[in-house]
Amino acid sequence: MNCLGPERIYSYLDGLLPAEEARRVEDHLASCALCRDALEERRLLARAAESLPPLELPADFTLRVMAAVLPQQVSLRSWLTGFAVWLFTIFISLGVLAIATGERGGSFLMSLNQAAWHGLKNASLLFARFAALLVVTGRIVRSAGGLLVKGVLFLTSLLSPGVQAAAIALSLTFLAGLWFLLRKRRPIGEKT
Amino acid sequence: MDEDKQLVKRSLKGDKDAFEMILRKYQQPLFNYVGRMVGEREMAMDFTQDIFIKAYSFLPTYREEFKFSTWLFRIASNYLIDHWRRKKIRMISYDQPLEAGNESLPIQLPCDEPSVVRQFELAELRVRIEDALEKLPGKLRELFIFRHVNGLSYEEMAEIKGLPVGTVKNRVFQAKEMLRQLLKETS
Repeated sequence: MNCLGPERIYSYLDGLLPAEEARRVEDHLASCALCRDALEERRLLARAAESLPPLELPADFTLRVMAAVLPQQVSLRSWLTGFAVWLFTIFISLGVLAIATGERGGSFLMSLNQAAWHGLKNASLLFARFAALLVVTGRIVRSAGGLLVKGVLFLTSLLSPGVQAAAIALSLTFLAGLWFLLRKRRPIGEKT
Repeated sequence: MDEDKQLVKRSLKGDKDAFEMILRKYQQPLFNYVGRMVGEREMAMDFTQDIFIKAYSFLPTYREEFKFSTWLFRIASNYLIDHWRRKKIRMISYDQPLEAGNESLPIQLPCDEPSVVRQFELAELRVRIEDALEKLPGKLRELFIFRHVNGLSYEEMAEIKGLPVGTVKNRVFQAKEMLRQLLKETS
């Protein structure tokens, strides 16, 4: 048997040779120091490559990826707890404020009530103006839509049915081509 | 049904813990692959994160006849190719075809071949391999990493790359010989 080529050596090391051929390789190795050296060298190289240390990942990598993959979901329980803490803080702050300003409970509540009423009134006004703005925007969009429809009808009246059909066919071909190109650019994760 | 497929099913039903288990299982192998392909730690971390985000969004398209790890590495491989094509970076010669005449290995070894590997201690050899890996053409480097760092089989690599098993084997052998040559040049 001739000396072994790299392909046979690698195939032998990977256990890819049929039993009969592997036996012939072993017979040759027993009598050829050069091939034994060549095999040993490639075996060492493979072992060194297989024992390369893992690259170090930061400890919080999993959490970071999970936060990016899944949006934060707050459970109802934690939401209610947060709300209770917020309410409690408001009451405590109001109590501290009342003590600090030296106001008596009744007058303090009265002024607080007035402030809340003013706030509510202003918020209602703001909401009403926003609603009016929405109504106006709606009217503008409706008028623009009407104009667009009229324009299209006018244009189609100028073109013969044959030209219209050709234009539609061309547009569809263009869209189909665009869709095909975009789809081809993203072969990720799918077996071809 | 294997564990990965169960985890995928649970993830698809919205089980956050199941996807976290997938992530914990594959983040290190994937980072080992991406890190050695891009050669820069921060970039490798961002890429690995992006690959998991892509995998999560593509999870509904995963088909059970494929091994999950193969599917995931295929996403990673495509991600890297897309990235280099988008940036038009050829730093790892990814798009470069393998040189003509370099596609196959010599049939026989030269008889006076000196030993390259045995002159180094194992630790030094690992460092030299890491350095030499960066000089391998991308196509060969990727397959070498799949085989020797990630421990994938030739069949798995063939499925990831969409290549015949014989081509993959030949390229891995070629990568090893080229790596050996690079070690020889730097010794």
